[in-house]
Amino acid sequence: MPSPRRGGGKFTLSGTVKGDGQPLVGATVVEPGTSNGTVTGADGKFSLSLSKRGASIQISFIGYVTKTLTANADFLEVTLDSDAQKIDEVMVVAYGTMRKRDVTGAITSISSESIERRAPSNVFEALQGQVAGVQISAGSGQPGESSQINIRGISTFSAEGVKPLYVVDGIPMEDIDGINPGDITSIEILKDAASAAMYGSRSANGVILITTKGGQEGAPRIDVKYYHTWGKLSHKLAQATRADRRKYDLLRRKYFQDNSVGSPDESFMIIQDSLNAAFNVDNDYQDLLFQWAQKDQVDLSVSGGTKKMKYYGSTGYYNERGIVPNTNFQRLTARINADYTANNWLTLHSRVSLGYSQKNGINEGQLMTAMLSRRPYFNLYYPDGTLAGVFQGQKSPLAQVKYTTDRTEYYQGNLYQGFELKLAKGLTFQTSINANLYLNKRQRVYPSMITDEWQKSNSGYAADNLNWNWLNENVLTYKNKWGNHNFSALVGFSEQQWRTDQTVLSGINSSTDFIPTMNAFAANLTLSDTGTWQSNHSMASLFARVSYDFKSKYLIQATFRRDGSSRFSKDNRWGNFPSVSAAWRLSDEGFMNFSRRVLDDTKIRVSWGITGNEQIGNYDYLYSYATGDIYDGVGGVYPARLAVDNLRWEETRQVDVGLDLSFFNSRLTVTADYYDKYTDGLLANRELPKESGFSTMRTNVGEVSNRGFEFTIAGDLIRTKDFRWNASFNISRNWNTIEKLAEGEAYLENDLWWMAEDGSIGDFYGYKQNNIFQYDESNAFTPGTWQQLTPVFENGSFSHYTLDGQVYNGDIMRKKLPNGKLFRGGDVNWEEAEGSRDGIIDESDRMIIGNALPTYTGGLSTNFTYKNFGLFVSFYYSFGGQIYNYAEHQRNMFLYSSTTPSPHVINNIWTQQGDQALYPRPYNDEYNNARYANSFYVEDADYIRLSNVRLSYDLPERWLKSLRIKALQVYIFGNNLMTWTSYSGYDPEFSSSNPLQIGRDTYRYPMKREFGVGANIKF
Amino acid sequence: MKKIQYILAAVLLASGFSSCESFLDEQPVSEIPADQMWTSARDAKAGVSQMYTYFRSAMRENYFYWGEFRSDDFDPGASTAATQQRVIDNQLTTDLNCTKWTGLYQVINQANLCIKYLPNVDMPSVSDRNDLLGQAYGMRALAYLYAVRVWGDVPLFTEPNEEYSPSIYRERTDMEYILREVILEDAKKAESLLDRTKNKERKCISPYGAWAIMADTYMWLKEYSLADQTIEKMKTNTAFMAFEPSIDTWKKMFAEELNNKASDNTPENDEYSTKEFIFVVHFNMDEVGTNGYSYMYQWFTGSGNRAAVVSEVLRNKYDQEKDLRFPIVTKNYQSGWELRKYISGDISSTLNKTCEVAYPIYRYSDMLLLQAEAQARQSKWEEALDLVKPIRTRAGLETPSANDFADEESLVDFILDERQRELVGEGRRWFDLVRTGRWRTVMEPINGCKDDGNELFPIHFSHLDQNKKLVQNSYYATNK
Repeated sequence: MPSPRRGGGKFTLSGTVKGDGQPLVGATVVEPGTSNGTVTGADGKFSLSLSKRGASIQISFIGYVTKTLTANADFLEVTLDSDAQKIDEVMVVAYGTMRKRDVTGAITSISSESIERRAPSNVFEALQGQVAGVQISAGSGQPGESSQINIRGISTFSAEGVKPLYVVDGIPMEDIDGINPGDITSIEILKDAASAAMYGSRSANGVILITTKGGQEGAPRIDVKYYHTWGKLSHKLAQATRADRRKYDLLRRKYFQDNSVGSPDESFMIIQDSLNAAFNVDNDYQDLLFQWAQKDQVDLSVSGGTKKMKYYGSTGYYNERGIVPNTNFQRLTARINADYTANNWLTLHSRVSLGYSQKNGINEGQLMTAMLSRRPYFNLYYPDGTLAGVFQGQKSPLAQVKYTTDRTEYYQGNLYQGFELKLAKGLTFQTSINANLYLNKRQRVYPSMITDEWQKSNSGYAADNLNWNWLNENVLTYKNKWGNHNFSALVGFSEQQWRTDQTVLSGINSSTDFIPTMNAFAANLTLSDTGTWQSNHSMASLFARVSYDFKSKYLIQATFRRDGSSRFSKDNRWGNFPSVSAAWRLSDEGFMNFSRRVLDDTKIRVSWGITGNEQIGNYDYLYSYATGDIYDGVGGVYPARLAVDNLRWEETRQVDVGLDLSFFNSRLTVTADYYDKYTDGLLANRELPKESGFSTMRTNVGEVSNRGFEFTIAGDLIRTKDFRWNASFNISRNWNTIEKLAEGEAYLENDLWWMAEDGSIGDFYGYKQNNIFQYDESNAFTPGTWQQLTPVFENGSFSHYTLDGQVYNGDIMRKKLPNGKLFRGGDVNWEEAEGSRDGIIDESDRMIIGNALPTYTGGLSTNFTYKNFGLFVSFYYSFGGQIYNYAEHQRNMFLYSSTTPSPHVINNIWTQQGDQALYPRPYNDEYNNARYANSFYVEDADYIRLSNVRLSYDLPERWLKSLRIKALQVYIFGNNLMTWTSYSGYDPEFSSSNPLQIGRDTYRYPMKREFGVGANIKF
Repeated sequence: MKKIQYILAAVLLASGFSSCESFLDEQPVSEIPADQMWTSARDAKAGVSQMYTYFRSAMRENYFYWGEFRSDDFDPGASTAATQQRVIDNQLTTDLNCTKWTGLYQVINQANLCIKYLPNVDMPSVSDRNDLLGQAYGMRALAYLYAVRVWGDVPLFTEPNEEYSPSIYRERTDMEYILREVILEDAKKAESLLDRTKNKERKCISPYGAWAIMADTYMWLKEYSLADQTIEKMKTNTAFMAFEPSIDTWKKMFAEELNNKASDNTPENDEYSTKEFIFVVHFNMDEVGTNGYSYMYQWFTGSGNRAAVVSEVLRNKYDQEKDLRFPIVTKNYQSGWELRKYISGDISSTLNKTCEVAYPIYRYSDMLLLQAEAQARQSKWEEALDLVKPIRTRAGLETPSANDFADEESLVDFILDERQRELVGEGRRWFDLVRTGRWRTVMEPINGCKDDGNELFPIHFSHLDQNKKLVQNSYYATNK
């Protein structure tokens, strides 16, 4: 180390920075007001050349209170105080920030650190299982698929309205799929009405605030991150082999012959033809189809700044290839965040984010159907080695994957310019304008090869969706302090307008299969599908907030928002969304002195507020006419919908009572909340009687309540010099009740979900299967109680019945169809609904057979560090929900000879009198054993998932110094490693786009198990 | 200096608070506001055209499900066609798509809109407007005629539904009332309104279409004399509507004339060279899209996917040696007797998903045979046989004389058998069996259809869930 000169002029300062007795690696040391600065290396050491002795230096590190010192000595040993006490730590809230300890609502904050250690590919993966009361379900395993997120239960009925509002750096966003999780510095989830009501009509399902990284004063920091993963189908489903399928064909043949139904020889010719190569292979489609998935992500960011100008620039590239060949997703994002202090009263904030992504997808439903039902003995190839597209009416999953073109490109641009004017002490005016632009271009061609056996008709489709919106916000803020009285107020207004433009081209039978664009279809456009559409939506809002506290001990806050939306008729256009909240810091009261050594902070929070939902179609209240159909060369015009001019806002009143506890100097924290949400005027599509000429109408269908509690406990279990261990656990429980429906009328949603007062969203409705009648004579019951009798056979002929082992000689009741035909051996023994115990099985025997909503959800995560090693493990879980295994039911309907059931079914079907079977006759007739829905296919959806394991190692600084690297971390990780569940399908976790139609598994693109390696480098 | 900030802030705040209200008035761009509709001749034409689109979607599958699969015309085809097989085998359940009336009521609501608004549309030609209104009455009549033939009593709407009200929940109205007071009255209005000189459109309702509906309805009401008189009206303009005496033309009529007819939008041009079609449902791939093709090929060709094959019962009803229609109607191909009436060759299965063969709803020979039946019922046996004769002659067959029949029923049976042979594949046979009450005797030996009420279709369970005032047909549910 060179010896510094005495007196003025430059000199070099060196030292170490410690916190909690540990050296701090990566702490920033700067000379304020200059661009001069450095970062501490391993062992917390730094050296910095200063302009003169006696200059001040500033030392900062995340999680610690920033310290400013005067550099007089050559060597400084600086100890930073942990900001666990965090008197001044702020949290992002609606239209501003707030001291964390002064928050009166239910807000959960997630830091960039806990996002990054999950190596997420999108924001949803980063959040899953981390926050009590927030349930996230991945859409499917398809690359680029979005997820579904519910905050505190499902409180709305409309598909569009169930999403929370996303606000990125103060900008409301339509979706956040295009955001690189690496750019995020924090995510705040506003759960209760008091926190969210500032966003009024779009806040009913909670608000997620995302703050992206900004620059810090000092030398440029360059961060490079890279990881690569390998993924594999997490588990296979049992699928029939050639032998299984042949057994099935023979069983069915015998059944057809015995019962003189169907066509006994339908498959017989095929399986007899032992020399035909087309019929004599044994395919395992899952082995043939699924491949190792690959994923790469590389992020590069540069940040820094001076006192006046701070910047953060990043670019990220993400490339995923799925477990199904030809399905992939690529994303390129770029972001520039800049803040410029122009003078003492004006600050400019600029945010620019650009994104491009491309998704190559596949029709999941068609692929899964083809894969699961195609006969295993059908050859996938013709004798010349080419892939068979459609063979004997069955599509080849391999050919579908190979020849489908289904590409969507997403272009996204977000521009934001904000001005912050300091008008007087404590008085600030902010105005901003921002524009979001999304362009999705989809291009899809199914070539003739995979359309039908004759390779005659291909089809093409192209759609451009341009969605753009602008927003102007103006906010006046006042903040002041008189002694122990803190006061702040805010008033503002905003205007926002959205516009959607859609262009669709669709055609069939182009002259070539080679061209995937629509010029090939010029002569063959489907005129009725082709066109352009436009629609608009606008909103204007006024909002205000007042908050006051005394010594941070008694805190109170009130907000008010008034929203006007173009989506409602003039009379119902404006809605008011007020909220109040209060908190009492019990621990600051004198009478709590006795416990202060253990319990250092106690806060009780109470809040009430109204939030709203306006997420419906742009013109749903209007009676108007739409076009599109053509007959004999004349375009038709038809009423687009019924007029519903009394359509109004959906409003949710929510009460929240919460408790924040902090023990042992913040080593253990507990947060508990109870909430009661009541939603009135639910917006939903109500099924209309089809004889009205209309299918559904958007209306305020009813009222629903969600009550529940959330509990989070987190602690630093071990905190020694070399070894640290912390853990966090959260659990939430939600009760959902449909309180009221329009005219009190229950209705059936999409043939499966029963919507009834006092019921719950997600109630499955259908028939209850008791068992399969073993003999024709097994259809015998006692009168009144409907206890099933057991037939006894002597010498092969029926003799008598027994009941509980005793000979039964009483009257006998039998179950029958409405037309009087008795159910036979091999038919399903359906349970009758109470009140309809007449022996006749018909629609009145349907009942609630399950519910899709989970009761308990949550997560557990834990982090160990030992010296330079770190180990992170996280789980999430869901209990109490059920799944309707629709895909399995479809496979087992015995409607089509081409459909191959699973081996379990083949080995357990009823084919003749006396068979003790789990599955009915292999042929569906008017007895309709395939009737939908059937309780047999309702399965428990409970699961615990080991979602992330990550082992990291920070390389010692001495190895890096010569490479000019400040820090380098390498890690290996695994995602979705294990799932403990009894569910028989691919995965108990999947989402549906419609909040009312949940828990029906149509077999989506399956999830993968993933292993990866990565490195983070700081320069 | 400081003032700038205040001025800026004040201006921005002030501009925002004012005139929010007009900012929030968004009107649809790609839709027609209700008050702008029904104002011009274009609107009128578009509104009427929509009825046919709805009818085409309603009939695409149901033409066969409703009109023919339940009859003795067809045996089950490939095992892949499981739903068709269930209907053919009389295994109807309340979850089948063919038990939904959604499509027909879309036609009815659209017709009701036309009937309500067309009279006030300002059109240059009153006769054009009347013609469109006549088509609306005709289509409403036809949609209800299908509905009552399939389900018996059905809910009745004669005004359009334009806003939600509890009155959209209705009970079923008596079939007899609908036949007499709605369908017949509508057909009469259509007859009086339709343009007899300019409307020569066989793809839409022409005056002949109105007469056909009327005659059919009279037959259901057993008003034989009125049916007879109505059909007689069709014989005035032989340049447009006439019997085609040649069997070659007969073949061409189905295999060529119905296929791939251009969309023309000119009702005054008759683009058909044969004269028998009264009303056909037009299919054109540009209009119907990828999944809207006509089923005339896919459902009747190829051992792997055909929905039905011509039944043994029907084949045995033909004099297979002599009847010239037999080799045109059916061919044994890939071990099944395929319905080949609409197909000219063997290779047609490659065209399955681009099939543009129209569905004939009414045809002149159909009317002649109805008239024959009406004559027979009025004890005019000779006249009846005179009407049957050209049809038999065209098929290369002798026609017996009145003396060969013992009683009226056997004569009617003879006419019905001739109808069956002549009209196979035209969606008529099941309705004939139900109308004449012969469904029990004919179908019981074939598929066991014999119980009272089984001749009606069930109502789809979702309709009953959505409207608690509806009661299921007795054969399919226990009604308490």
